[in-house]
Parts: sequence; structure tokens; C-alpha cells
Amino acid sequence: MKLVIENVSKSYKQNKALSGFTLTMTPGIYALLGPNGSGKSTLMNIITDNLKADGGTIKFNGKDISKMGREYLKLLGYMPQYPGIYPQFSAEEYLYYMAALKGVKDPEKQIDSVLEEVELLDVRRKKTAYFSGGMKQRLALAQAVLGDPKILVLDEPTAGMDPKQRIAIRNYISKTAFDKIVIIATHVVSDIEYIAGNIVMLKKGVIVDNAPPAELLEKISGKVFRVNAKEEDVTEYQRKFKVTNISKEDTGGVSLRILSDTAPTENAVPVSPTLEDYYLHVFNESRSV
Amino acid sequence: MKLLKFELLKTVRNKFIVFVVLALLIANGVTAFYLCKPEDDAATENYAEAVEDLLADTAKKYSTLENKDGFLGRYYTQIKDMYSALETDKEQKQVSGWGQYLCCGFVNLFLLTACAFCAAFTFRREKETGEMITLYSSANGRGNYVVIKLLSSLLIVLVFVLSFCASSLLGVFAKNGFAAFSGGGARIQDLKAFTYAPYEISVFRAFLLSVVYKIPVCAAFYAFCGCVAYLFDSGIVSLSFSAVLMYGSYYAMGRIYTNGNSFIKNSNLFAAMRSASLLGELRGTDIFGLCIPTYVFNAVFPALLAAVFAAVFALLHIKRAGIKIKLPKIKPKKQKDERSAKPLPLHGFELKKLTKSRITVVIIILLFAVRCVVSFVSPHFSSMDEMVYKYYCDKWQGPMTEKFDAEFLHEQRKVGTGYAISSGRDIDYSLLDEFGMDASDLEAYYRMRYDGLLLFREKIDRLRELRDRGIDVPILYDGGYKRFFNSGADIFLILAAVYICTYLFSYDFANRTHDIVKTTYNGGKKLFKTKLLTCITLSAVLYAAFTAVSAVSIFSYFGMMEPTAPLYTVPGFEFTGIMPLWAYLVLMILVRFAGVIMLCLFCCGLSLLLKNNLTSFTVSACLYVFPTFLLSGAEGRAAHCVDLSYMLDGSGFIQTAQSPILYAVSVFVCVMIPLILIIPHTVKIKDK
Repeated sequence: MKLVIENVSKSYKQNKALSGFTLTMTPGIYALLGPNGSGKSTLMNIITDNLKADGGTIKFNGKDISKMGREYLKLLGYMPQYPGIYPQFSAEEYLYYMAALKGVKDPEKQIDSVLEEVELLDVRRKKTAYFSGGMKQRLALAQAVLGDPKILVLDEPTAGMDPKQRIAIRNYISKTAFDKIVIIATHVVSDIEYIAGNIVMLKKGVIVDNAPPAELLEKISGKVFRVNAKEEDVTEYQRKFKVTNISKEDTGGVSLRILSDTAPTENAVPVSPTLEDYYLHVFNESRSV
Repeated sequence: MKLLKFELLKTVRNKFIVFVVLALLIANGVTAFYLCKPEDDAATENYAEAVEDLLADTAKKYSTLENKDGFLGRYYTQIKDMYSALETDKEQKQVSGWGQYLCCGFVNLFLLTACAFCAAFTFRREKETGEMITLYSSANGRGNYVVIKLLSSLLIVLVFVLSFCASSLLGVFAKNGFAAFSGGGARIQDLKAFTYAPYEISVFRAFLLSVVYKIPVCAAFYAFCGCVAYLFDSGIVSLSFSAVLMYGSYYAMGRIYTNGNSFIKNSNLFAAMRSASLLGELRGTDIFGLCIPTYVFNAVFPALLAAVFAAVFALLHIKRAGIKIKLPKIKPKKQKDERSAKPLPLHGFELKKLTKSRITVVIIILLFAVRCVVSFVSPHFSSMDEMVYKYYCDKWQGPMTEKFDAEFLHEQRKVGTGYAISSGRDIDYSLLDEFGMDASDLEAYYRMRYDGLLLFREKIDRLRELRDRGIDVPILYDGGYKRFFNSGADIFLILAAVYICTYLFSYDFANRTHDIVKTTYNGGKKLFKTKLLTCITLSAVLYAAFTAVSAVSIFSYFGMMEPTAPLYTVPGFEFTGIMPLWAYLVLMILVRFAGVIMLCLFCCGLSLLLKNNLTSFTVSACLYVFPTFLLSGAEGRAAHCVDLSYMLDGSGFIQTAQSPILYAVSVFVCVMIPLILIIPHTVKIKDK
């Protein structure tokens, strides 16, 4: 199973959202990372056939998806960033409706199992109007995986969830991804740090990096330091270096996490890099305020 | 003052509101220009003589009916005093353009629309953008906010009223020139529409009075729209609600209660703003034995409304601001579990979307209930000339004998063929009690009696013509057939069908479910077809239900004439062919059904285009209802060409025997518009 994106480009008037985007995907989890306006949503809309690309092709197992028509949609599961759910339906009814739309045969068993996975089995008969934001997200995820799609496109799947649910959903996605191509767009780096097979970093519609997390972290190995400093010196450090974190110490001073090619001070201690550090390294952003 | 300045700036800097108000101002000026036809203004009769005649007639009529101590006696004295105070020997002056302008409701329509827009969007904005919370948390924002908001509303209303009246003035001047005020002292009585106005004031003062009078009405409406916007949290919803109140009540009540409940008519803001009511109304209403002139109702009602809505708005804000007011606590509803769901076909789910939406169910039931009420009540309030016509039909029911000919001739002489309002002295008042008419409005009674007789004479002429052609049809009352398809209550069917179609088609967009649905296997053409079929089926069911209600109510009240009788026996139906009544019924049911289908397609297409159920509903409802409502006469016939609701009322073609080409154009447009809207969408949906 292979999804090949070849030279795809898309512009909105003067702005280029995607420019010659090329990527080959096989079963596994692909995380799209990038700042706002980097082209993640555009790419997802093109993959889900909701948007026409200006140029390039997307092929699934060698077939152009634009020519596959409904056969391609049968392979697709999509969870948009702001999923709409019918408030007058119960969770169960909503999934039955989605199953009818997806042409799922014998949906009863699937719906039970999916509701259990997303921890909504207890509230299956509650109207979705009474659901919290996190519950709606989980229901939207449930509809996306209904029908066992081969390509799963998830836009910010864990938005609005508490840490426990976040971990549960993360594990569920990881579990279902064995025989699927899962594409996740997110801003929450920690969500994909442990489950993504590949991280695709996008900047202004162009891939700036595409590698497994370990490989990316290797690139900044030895470039992340912890520095203990006085409170009044923080501004000076921020001016000179990329400060990714500031935390107050019990002793009265502050501990700074700094990205730098060389040790910023003599007492700087090298620490293990995280994906967040790499993200800031690539996009030249500082987390400190 | 600073707060007030900022409050006003919020409105002034809102480009959308400014654009809409400017557009309405221009439309208002153009309409005033178009409506001010000089030739209609000149009073046709000598004022002094007319008033003398009126007083003499009124004295005679009232003395016939009741003793001087009763309500009518007191009312007559009041009118007599009013007229006696007027100088009736003044020379008549020519004034151009003002009569139509002062009677016209268009200015009010534009003005109220501007108020509705402005109120809905300014009140909503603060809640939507979260500014309201900031305002409440500020020290100044609590008590002062309410006062400033109300004060700014009043100022905006004032500016609107002055601007719209100024734009109307410009329209009048542009058409007639400044010479319209030549002589300066032209009286309101010099205008044809105000010949019997009870106060002697100049035309210009009458205009100023109408300007002043508009302020409390607009303030009431503005406050109402603001309250609605505040409650609904949405400009579009509140605008729709206000529009329904403003136009719907006028349209529906105005048509249903043509000669009926004057309180409902006068309690309507739109009607209340008519200058004619304020300046020229002779009628009064009997409340607990007191004769209260109608214009008092018109003045008091908006003022009371303004006060009530301002109070509601203030209460809502004060409560939100944390000031403790003892209000009854509403217990939160318990969340009930739904029944266990089962797999259904797609159309089952589409139907479920509607039936599970409480607001939809409430709206449909409400519309149906109102339709039922209207059906069973409106015949009793039907036009009085029709009731006289029924009286004659029942009186002489059966074959036309020589005895009938003699009696009918005598009746015609009695009523008087040379009838005019001021000379209907020979009419007896025996029917007054029978019809339960408002005794204070005797002019209407005369007119009714005469018109009813004319209608009956037309029927007799037709029966005689048919007898000459060898078809013998007895005298039978046939009002039901005419009413069956001519009911203004069609508006309820239109609104119900429009609501269902716009809901099913555009709710997915508004709810963002469309993003997911369109990526599914059956989310393309299959879903589109399913939705369309559901809409058509539901509308057909509604049509059947509404038609059944109409049939039962009308025929049970008016009775059914021999269904094999030719259509030509029914006065008003110009179709001279020998089409039996039953064939006409079947034909009309089919034509109207086709109209309902086209209505569905049109709404569906529009919903797909606008992608918002509330906007689609408002636009569709306006497009369906307003062309017929706004235009009349020649313009109305032209409007029918693009008015799908006219197709629903397809009987117009047969009734008036109008040009088949015009009807063909109408049908063509009615069919083409929905198809033009729908076809591009079906092409756009890929055949996946």
C-alpha cells in the first residue's frame, strides 16, 4: 500500500500554500508539523479530495486518486480540525449515520468496538449536544476510523482533550496504524513525539525536514543546554540565545533551557534534546515570553 | 458623554450597517420619487359640501341605530364637534405628491428594516466578540452601560427617522419641485386621501407630525430587535425573527383579517406607522363603553412596546451584571438517554435530523396550528361583500323562477344602482347585526351591501347566459371554490416547506459536518438525491395536510356547490369554457403541487449556494412572499412572473383569464430558476 504525492502545488491568489510537495507514504504514522500557514491543512484537504491542487498528482497504489472517485473515498477516514456533529443525534445515531454514508456493512459490531476505544460507550445514547469539547473530538475520531479506512487523515486529533484522554487516543491511533497510512497534523509536538514513524516539517508549503523522530533529535544532539542564571540576567540571555524554557528554581535563581551550537556559559550543562527543541530550532522560535 | 460617543462610534464604524442603511436610504428616496404622482392628490369634491353631506348622513344613520346616550351617539357627537371646529369654506389648493407619500407604507418598510439591521448587529456583536464580558468587568460598564446603550439606541433611531424622512422629502421635491408647497397653507383636507381628516392642519405640519410619530414606533422596534439579538446571540436569527414580526404579522394578519379584528391590525408596528391612520382615521373602538379613536391605539401601543422592551433589555443586563434580582429559578433539565439506535437507510437519517431537531418540530407544528386556526376562523372574517353575496345566494337558492326575477329586481331598486358612499340612504340596516359588523363603520357596511349585490348580479347574469347556451344551473352559493385556492394562508405552507428544505440542505454547512460528509463514499450524489427526495416527500406531505385542512374548513363553512356545474357560474372566474368545477379542483391541486416541487428545488438550490440555513430561509421566504406583497396592480402582475408563490396560486390564470403568455412566462421562470440553481450543483458533484 503506497500513497505517493508528487510535485503538488496550490496557491491562494498571490500566496503559495504548497509548492512542489513530494512525499511517498507507506503504512505508518506521518506527522505534519509546521507553524500556522505552513500548508498543513491545504495538504490535508488535497489528500481528502476536498480541494483541487493547481498541479501535481496524488496516486494510491499507482492510481490517480482524482480518477478513482468513490473507490478512493471508501479508503478514506477524515477528522477535520473543527468537526461538525449533529447535536440532535446521540453518539450511537451519529455513528450509524456516518456508517450509512460510508457504506459500512453490518456497522453494529464496529460501532460498539470503536465507542469503547474512544471511551464513549457509557454515553452512547446521550445526545451529542450535551457532549464536552473533548468528547466531541473523540466521537469525530470514532467516525473517522469507522469502516476500517486505509488512509486516515487527522487534523489536530487531540485538541481539547485532557492528558489521560490524550494518551489513550495517542495509543489508539498508534494501535490502528499497523495496516494504515495515518496522517496527523498537529501543533502539540508531544502528541506525535512517541508515535510518529515519520515527521514531516513544513514551512511555507515546502518540506524542510522529513525523518523519524530519533533522526531529527540526533541533528541537535549536544546543542541543548541548561543554564542557571539570576533573574535579572534573563533578558540578556534571551537577546543572545534561543531560550526554549524558563523555570524558577527553589534557590531563588532561574533555570534556562538554551539552544546553541556552543555552550552559552561555562557552567552550562548539556541536556537531551526533545522534539520541541528541534521544532524551535527549525522554525527559529522561542518559547519564552 | 464619552461612553455615549464610543457607543455611537461602534455603529458608525460598522461598514456593513452603514452600507445597508445607505442602500435603504437610497431605495427610500427612489420609492418616494416613484410614488408621488401629482394627479392623485387633487381632492375631487368640494370639501365643505362633502363634510356637510357626511355629517348629515352620519346623523341619520346613527339616529336610526341607537339612542343618543349609547356609544354611537357619543361617538357621533365627538365627530360632529371635530368637524364643526373646521373651517369648511376655505378655498381648495393643489398640492402635489403628498397624498400618496403620507399614505404609503414603503418609507416605513425601509425605516423599520434599517432599525432591524442596526439593532440586530450592534447588540449581537458585543456578545459574539466577547466584549460584553470586558464591559461587565469594568467599573463603569455595569450601571452606565444599560443607560448608554438605550440612549444611543434612541439617538440612532432619531437619526434614522430624520434621514429617511429627509430622503423621502428629496424624492417628493425631485418629482414635484419646491412648488409643491406653493401657498404654504395647503390643508391636509386638500389631499384626496385625507378629505375627511378631522383636524385642520397644513400638509407640512401633517408631515412633521408623521415624522415625530415615527420616533416612538421605531424606538419600540429597535428595542425589540435589540432584545431579540441579545437573547438569540445571532444577528441573522434575530433579524429573521424581527422580519417575521414586522412583515409576517402585517402580511398574514392584513390578509386574513381584511375586515375583521381591527385591534390585531392596529397592534402591528407596520400598520401603526401609517400616517393615514394617524391623520385621517374616523373610526373608533368601543372598549368598556368608551369610544377610543383608533389613532390613540396607534400612538399608545408603540410607546408601551418601547417601554416594555427597554425594561426587558435593562433587566437582562442588570442580571448579567451581577445585581441581584429575584427571578424564578429554572431547574436545569435532566439529560435523558436516547433510545438504542439502529441502522437506517440514508433518507431515514435525513428524516431523523428534522424530527429530532426540537426547533424544527416546534416551527412546523406551530405553522400547521396557525394554519388550522386561520382556516377555521378566517372564513368568518371574510370580506363582507362576500357575506352579502352568500346571503343572497341562500335567500334565492334553487332554480331561477319568475318570482325570483321580480324579487331580485325589487332588491336592486332598493339598494340603488346609483350608489355612492354619501348617498346610500335607502339601504336598510337589517344585515348589520347578522354579520356582527362594527356599527361605527357604516361606510364599509354600505359598500359591502352594494358590492355583494353586484357580485350576485354578476352570477345571475352568468346563469342566464348559461341557460341560453342550454345549461341549466340553479342558484347555489359557490364561495368555497373561490376561497379554496385563493387563501392568503398559503404563506404558512410556503414557510414550512422553505424551512424544511433550507434546513436539510444548508444545515450541514452551518454545522461544519459537510467537511466530513463530503469525504464519505455516499456523501456525494447519493446523499444529494436522498436529501432532495426527502424534501420533496415532506413538502408533499405538508401540502396534502395543509390542503386537507383548507378544504375541510372552507367547504364545511361555505358548503360545496354541485361539482359538475361549469366553472363559469362562479363570479370572478373569467374562464368561459365549460370546465366543470371538479376538473378545476383537480387541475389546481396538480398545478399547486408542481408549485410546491419547484419551491423545494428553489430552496434547495439557494441553500447550496448560500450554505447557511438561516440566511437561506430568510432569503427564500423573502423572495417567495414579498413580490406579491410589495407590488400590486400592473407591477404586481409583472412580479408574478418571478414569484413562485404565484404558481402555487395558479388559479389566478383561470380566474382572471389573463394572458396565457404571461402565465407561460411565469411557469417557465418558476421552473427555470430552481433548475438553474440546482443543475450546476449536480454537475459539480463528481460522479464518484
